[in-house]
Amino acid sequence: MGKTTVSINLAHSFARAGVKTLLVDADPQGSVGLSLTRQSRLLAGFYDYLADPKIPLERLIVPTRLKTFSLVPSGQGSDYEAGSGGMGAHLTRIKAFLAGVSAQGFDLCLIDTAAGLFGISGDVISSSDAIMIPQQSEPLGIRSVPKLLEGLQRLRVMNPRLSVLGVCLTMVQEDLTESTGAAVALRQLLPPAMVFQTQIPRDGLFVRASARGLPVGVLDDGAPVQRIFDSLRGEIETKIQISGGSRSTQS
Amino acid sequence: MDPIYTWLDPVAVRQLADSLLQPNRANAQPSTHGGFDDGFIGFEADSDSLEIAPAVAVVSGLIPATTVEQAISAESFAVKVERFSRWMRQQFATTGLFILDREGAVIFDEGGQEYLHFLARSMAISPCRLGNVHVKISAAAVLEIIPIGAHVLGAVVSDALTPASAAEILKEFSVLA
Repeated sequence: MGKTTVSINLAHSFARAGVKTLLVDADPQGSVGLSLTRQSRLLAGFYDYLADPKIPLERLIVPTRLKTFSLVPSGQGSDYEAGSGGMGAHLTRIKAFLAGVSAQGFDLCLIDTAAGLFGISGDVISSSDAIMIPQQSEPLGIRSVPKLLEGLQRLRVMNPRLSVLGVCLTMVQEDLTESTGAAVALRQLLPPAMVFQTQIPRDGLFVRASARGLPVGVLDDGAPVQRIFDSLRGEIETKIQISGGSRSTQS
Repeated sequence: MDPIYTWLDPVAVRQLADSLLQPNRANAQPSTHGGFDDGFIGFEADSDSLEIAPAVAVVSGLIPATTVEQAISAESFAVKVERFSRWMRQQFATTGLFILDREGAVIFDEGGQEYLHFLARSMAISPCRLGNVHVKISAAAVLEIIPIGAHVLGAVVSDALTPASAAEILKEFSVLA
């Protein structure tokens, strides 16, 4: 449970709050699609859009039962399974995609990318307004955060308007010293504004929700976890203005 | 337990994080140059640059870092680099030129291209790239980045240079030594 779970449930939280939200699966492994619907794996998606200029954005958008919540699956572009393509190769097409999303009237476009800051993920970040960094609360993962910050500094050369919203600790296990210790150490290391106060616990609810293809908040007993994502949404809303103007956020 | 601190420099990381939380200076300052405006479209295809890799190696070998450093410290370097800069303007219509060392220190900068230094150095030291790299920085300008030994040459031109042109520049640059 990491960035994909955060992306799905955070997007759902925004949508529940009335923000017209588009969740884009830009992870070549298609984890959002895998998590939500079996059918979404068969649809054209983000990688098809990058590969074929003739595909219109409208064909990619999958509505959900929540009127304010739509998805774009990763699609069938198998050439991208390894995240191939040099950085910058898809920049123009990604910018066209985001311009189209804005024209469709979405208030927020949340893009779940593959891990790393290179290739297509780098192009997405270079085109986005803001980035949020989900980070598993375990020592090995947290040691990589400085490298990630260095990479972000480089990308801000190419995208000066990029706001770094901060690191969101995920999979926090209160009963595991190494997990809580890593979370404490990261909070001591970074400025308070760089680490979200809200942290996402490891919870069996996430497994149950993804097994049913649903955000956690839809489950009968999902309200407590939903409140965590609502809290995360509240923190983001204090950092960037979302309603009334389309924003693209990458995680 | 110390899961993090033994692995990094906390002061440096803190400074880096603080800088990322600040609005980007490049974004805050009105641009008076052809920098990353709406015309920025990213890196141009540079598959040809692989062709120049042997040339880079050969020429770089002809200019060992120590030799270039000696040249840079020589009194006549300013004259030589000015001649090289003039040659670049004549041959390739450059509108900006700079030379950095691999640590990012500015050795020469004609035309106030500071905003491109970080990008140039980052691209030059990328282990994924060989030879020259060109980056479209605006609708009418390309930054050509040519690693030369222990140094990085950046030139602002209107169109991406061919590997042959980059090899020619490397050869001319060797005169500086």
